[in-house]
This record gives sequence, structure tokens and C-alpha cells, in this order.
Amino acid sequence: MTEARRIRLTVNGRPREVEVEPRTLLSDVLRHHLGLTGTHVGCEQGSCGSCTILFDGAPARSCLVLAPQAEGAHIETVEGLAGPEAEAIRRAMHEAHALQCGFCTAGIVVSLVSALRDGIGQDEAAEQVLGGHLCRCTGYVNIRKAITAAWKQGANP
Amino acid sequence: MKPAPFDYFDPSSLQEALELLADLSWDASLLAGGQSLIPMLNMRIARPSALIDLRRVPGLDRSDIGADGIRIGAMVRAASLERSVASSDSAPTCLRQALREIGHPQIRNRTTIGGNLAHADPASELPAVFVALGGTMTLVSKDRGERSVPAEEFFQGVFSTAREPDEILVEASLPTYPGRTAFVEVARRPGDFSLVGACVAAVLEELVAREVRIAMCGTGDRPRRLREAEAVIEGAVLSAERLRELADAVSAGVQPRSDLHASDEYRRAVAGVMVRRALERISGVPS
Amino acid sequence: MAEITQTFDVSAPTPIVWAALQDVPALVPCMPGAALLQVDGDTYIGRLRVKVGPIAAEFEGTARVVERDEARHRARIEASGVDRRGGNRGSASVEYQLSPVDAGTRVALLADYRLRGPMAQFGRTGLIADMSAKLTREFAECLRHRLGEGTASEPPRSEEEP
Repeated sequence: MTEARRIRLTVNGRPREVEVEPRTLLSDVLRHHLGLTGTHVGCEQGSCGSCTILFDGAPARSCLVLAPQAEGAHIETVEGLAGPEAEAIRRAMHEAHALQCGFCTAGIVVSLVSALRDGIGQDEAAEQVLGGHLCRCTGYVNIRKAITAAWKQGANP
Repeated sequence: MKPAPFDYFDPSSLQEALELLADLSWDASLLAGGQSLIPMLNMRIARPSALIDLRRVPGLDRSDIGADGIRIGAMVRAASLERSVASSDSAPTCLRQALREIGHPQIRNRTTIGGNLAHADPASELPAVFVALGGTMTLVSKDRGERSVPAEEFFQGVFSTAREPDEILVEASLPTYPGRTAFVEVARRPGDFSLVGACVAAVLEELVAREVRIAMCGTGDRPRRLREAEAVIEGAVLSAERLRELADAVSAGVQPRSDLHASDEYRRAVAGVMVRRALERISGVPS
Repeated sequence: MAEITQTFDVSAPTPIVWAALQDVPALVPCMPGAALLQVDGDTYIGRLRVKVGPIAAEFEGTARVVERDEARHRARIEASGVDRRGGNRGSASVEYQLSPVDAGTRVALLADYRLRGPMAQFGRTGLIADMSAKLTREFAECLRHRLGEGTASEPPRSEEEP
């Protein structure tokens, strides 16, 4: 039972099917089997957050999901984020110069878009949600500026 | 790194899961939320030859918060319990506070209450809450059926619990506690593993504390009730001086270990501070 | 890396306890997860399975009695093994000293465990001390049972380097 098995999941709104060993991480399914390399792999321990995707609408570490656990799940990656919240976050991050190398950015964008969609407050977003992400370049200052801007614009509490 | 190969099973019933667990050798691991197990698989510290995924087992993801206590199915996600607890008056404050301290929101969306308790990391917050409030764990096996274990007996050491290799933790429950509760922890950054955490409960009449409960995480190989420290304030009027006395008793009563995150002296000192702070939250007496 | 001391009493005369401790094959069942594969004089070849939570290891190796002082009832055993699958290497040095007491015999164990490999590097600190303390405690309990209950053994004291 270590052999490859078929996994069916929905990714960015499209039904996808892969055949992978059960030990394959969702992050590798997305990157290597589905060609969606926007999701990055930094630590494979769940610490850095760069692999964050939306699993049935909630932010989760794709490096801590085994492929079979994603059977039947709706996965959204940074490539698939759309809608006014995604627009707001993208624009705010861009205008605040909230990235340098960009490695951590995809995961942060996913988490923040989800937070905006869910009506999470700005302080919670800037501390709890962003707290789940490590950035080695920016010192987080501009990311927080982006959060302030996006939340103000999004008319969120 | 990537996990080493394993045989993967996703049983569709508890009975099937129990049979698999009973049949497979000592080398099978149960998979709940995976937030503790999968990092170990990825680093190959854990290399089970078989993995039994509980995600398809029905009936383990219900929680029930009522006036007569809280019952939590083992597969309830921490984020889901956080939401249930926030919208309920019956849940103890320390539970809500402890849940917030578990990792980050992204971890809480996946990690399960049962997985967290069964994993028994000494730094983990929930075990301290369950020990302080006298919680109970329900275990099931194929051959021996169901049994209940009080939280204090359940946690036996680092990653060690009373769960036998052929048992599955299916539910954890907390009785109602008539007083006020608080959970306080210190970590280098929010979301990090706690260095030291305290779950404190007391029934307050004016400033007299009764039915005092104190349990700590991060101060040894398992969460423990600090009964000697509890005795310092049981039936006593809380005052700043009494709280200082309590903090000293707490520091004297714990046997923390040094590790690369914090020394035993630091943990010992901070243990007292955590308990004082928790009592300050409950009683308003400044520490 | 982890030093464990454990002292317990057994209600049997010292020469009997000494003799029992020399019969290594008979002691193997007292160590959970241990199996003896081969005996060659004072050298014992076997394996030891240890599991703490999701972390498991199976060490294959040898144990040798390197010191034996019958007059003073003191002996030392050195053991080492490899967990090939996990890439862990473990070694232990166990010294025991018997002394007569009113109730029978006092057994003083001093064990020094060392672990190298992923388990040591990434395992949570305290794990090795706990694992070794547990093994030592279970061994002591079993031995007491076999030789006659003495006073209950206290939990073993353990110290681990960070």
C-alpha cells in the first residue's frame, strides 16, 4: 500500500487527478504534479508558512498535508486567488513594497486574502495571521503597512 | 526531506480502524491532523511502516459544550473548537485562551484536539488545561472496548500517554468548573512552542480562593497539578504578598529541564510568574 | 548523554541476586523490546526495540560484561547498537553494585546512555532521558518481581545534557 494511488481534488476551481505515493506532500503534488509552483517550500516542518494554501477555504500548510488527505478537497493556491479581496491584497502589497525576494509572499498573500474574505479584524490579521509566516527580507514593516492599507480600503473593522 | 515510504490506510469506520491497529505491528502510527506527526515524517524522525488516517472515520468530529461540561470528539479541529468556545458562555476561559496559543491560525485549522492530547508534547497547552480541570480521555480498542482515563493519569511522559498501542483516543471531556479560570504562557514569539504555561482555576468569594487548581506545561515531562502550591492559597485571602508566596511555591514545586530553548532556572522562575499572572487575571489582585 | 541512577531493594540474599544477574539470557525478558540472538562467552548479540510516541528505533548490537568483581558484587556491562533504518547509533554503560541490607539486597544501578543520529538531533530534549529512565525502571521492576518484592523502587533519577 505504499504504491501510487489516485487522488481526486479540486484545485483553483478545476477538478484535478494525480497518481502519487501516499507519502507525497500536497506541496509537492501542487508544484511537481500540477505545475503550480507559486506555492513555495521553505522548511517542510510547518514553521515558515511559505507553502500556505487554502484547504476547503481555510489557510493550511501544504507541506503538512499528505496527498491522500486532500482527496475531495477544494484547494486554492496563490495562482487561483481572484476576487476583490485578492485584488486588494495584491495592490496593497505592491504599493507598500511589501516584498523583496518574494519567496514568502505567496503564502502571505493566501493567508491575508482568506483573512479579508472571512472578515477577520486588522489587528488579528497583522498579528495572528501574519504571525504564521516568516519573512527573511523585509522585517515585516511594509507587510503590515500593506495590511493597514488593504483593511482600510476593504472597509473592515 | 520527504517521508519514508509507508503503507497508508484510510478506514471508513472506527471498527475498521481498530482492527487495523490491532493487526498491524508496533510500527503503525495514527494520523489525525498531522501537524505534529507530518513534520516528524518529513524529517524522518518517525518512520512508521504503516499510517492509519482517521479522516474518514465518522462521528469523531462533534463537540458538545453545555452546562454539564464539554465533550470534544478527537478529530475536532482546534480552530473549530475555538469558534464553538467563543460563542458559548459555558466554556472555561482557560480553554479559549489555551486554544489561541496553539501554533498559528494556519496550524489550528488542521490540528485536532485528540491528536494534540495523544501526542503529549510536554510544551503543549491543552494537556495542562485538561489536568487542571480534571478532564477525562476516552479510549477504545478492538479487544477491550471503551475505557476512560482521568487526565492526570493519561499523561505519562514525553510523547507518552496511557493509550495502549492498539487504542484510539476518541473523545476528551472536561467537567464544569464552578469558578474562574485562566491560561497564561510565555513563548519567544507568539505561536512558538510554550516555554512555560500555567492553567489556573479558582472559585472566588470576595478575594478568598477555593477549589484552587494549578497545572503547568513546559516544566517537566508532562503537565502536573501543583497541589502544594494550590494549598498555599486554598481558603486564603488573595493579596499581592500571598501571590508572591504562591509564585515561590510554584517555582519550588516544578522540576523543569534545560534545553536549547530555555534553561531550567529560567523555566523555574517564569513558572511562578505565569501562575501569578493567571491569578491576577482571575482575581484582579495585582501581581 | 543521559545518566540514570536507580536504587531498589530486593528481598533475596545478595549471593542469589548476584547469581541471577549473571544469568543474562534469563534477564532479557525483563527488558521490554529486547531479544537475544546469540551468546558467545561474555558477549551477547541481540536487538532492542524502543518506541516513544511516533518515534521508534530498533537497535541491533552487542552487550559485553567488561568488569566483574564477585567479591564486591560489582559489575559493568557495555552495550552498543545501530538502528539501521533510522540511522541512529546508541550505546550504554550499565554498572551495578549489590549490598546486603536488612530486607535482603540493595541494587544500585548507574546507567549512562548515549545516542547519536536523527533521534538525538531532532528528538525533543528530555526524550532520551525519559526513554532510558523508563527502560531502567521497567527493568528494575521486573527484577524485583523475579527475585522477591523488596521496597518499592523510587522513580529513577535522570540527568541529560542539553
